[in-house]
Amino acid sequence: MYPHLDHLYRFAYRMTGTREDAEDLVQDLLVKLYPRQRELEAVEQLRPWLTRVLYRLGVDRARSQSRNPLALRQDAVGAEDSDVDPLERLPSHEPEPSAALERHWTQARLLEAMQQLSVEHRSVIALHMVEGYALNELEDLLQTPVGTLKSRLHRARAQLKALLQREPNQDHQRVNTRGQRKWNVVK
Amino acid sequence: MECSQVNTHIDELLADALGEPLRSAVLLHIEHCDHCAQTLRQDRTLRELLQGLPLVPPSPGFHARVLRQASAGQRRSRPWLTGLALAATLVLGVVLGWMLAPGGKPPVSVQAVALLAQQPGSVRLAFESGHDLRDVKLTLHLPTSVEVVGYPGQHELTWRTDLQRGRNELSLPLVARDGEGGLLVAQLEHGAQRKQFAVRIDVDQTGALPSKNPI
Repeated sequence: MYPHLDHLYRFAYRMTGTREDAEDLVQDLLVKLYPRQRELEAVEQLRPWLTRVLYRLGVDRARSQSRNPLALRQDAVGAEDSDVDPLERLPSHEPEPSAALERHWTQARLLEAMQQLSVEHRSVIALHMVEGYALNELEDLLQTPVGTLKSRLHRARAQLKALLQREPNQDHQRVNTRGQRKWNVVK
Repeated sequence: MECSQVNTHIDELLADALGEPLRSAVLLHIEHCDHCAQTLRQDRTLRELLQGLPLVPPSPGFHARVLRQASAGQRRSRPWLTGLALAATLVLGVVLGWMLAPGGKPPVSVQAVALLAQQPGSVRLAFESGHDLRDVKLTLHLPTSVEVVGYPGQHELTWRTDLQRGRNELSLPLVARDGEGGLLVAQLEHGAQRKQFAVRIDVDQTGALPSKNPI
């Protein structure tokens, strides 16, 4: 598995957003698979297979954390089950000069926005838009129909844009109460 | 072609994966539609920004360590942080049976954790409870230069929760702005009892991301 560690870490980092969580996730994967080395030898395309298992592990971990009594989770703007098209939440449909985008859309803010996506949305963004996997490749890799991937991609992109459009100190927070503990923000 | 149709093809257009004659039809629409032209501009900018996101490399010795621990069947243990390790991971042990009476003294020892400036990091707080506790109030006081991701400019957050017997973990996504950091104070209240812990957050500016991305 050594030759695949860099790739696995890279994907784990994109999924989790921090070095520590990424290292933990890869560690968990290896601990899980180490006793199954004979099975691994029979896998023809090991890298996509490992990526798939890592993805499942990452999703399971994120869900487990969200069930924790103290779990903290942002409201997902444009959550999967929302009836409202996230694009409609964009503040404006007026043409925006690239200079204005540049002012608000920075790497630091994008990193934060990525952290607010669900792990499924973050993964499809990372694999498709950052790593360059085609959606039909991801269909096999993530065992998810292309239609679902397209929907996730559309919503994730809209959510990122909506988050980036906010003024840096704009207080627009809403709280997801679906199975989560509610934050009562003290003014 | 309608805007809604064009919208479904913008991703393929940017990935150069749109065949003819669809590509020409999409481009023709965009040429005459400000709304779709704006969507294309935003999506292109977003894609470029995403592709330029930095990747923090694993910690030194990660490859050897992870394989060694896997062969021994060990999961990585989250360390109790000491000193100024860059790992933005912290575990605070709180034994709720030892809660302070109202007006209890502030914490004596303060642990420290460092965050890279402008880059999200996770700080984990673990609360160990001897039994189930209902309606516990947890309040976080953050240094002025540190925010919970998604809660810009808010330095006091409080919420009520139930604690289960055993370990209850809170993974706190933090981001440090410019500044020196300061104390993060976590306070648990249950009835008349109260327990308070403090963590020093140091901000490491050396690996800070640029505040502007060159587009």
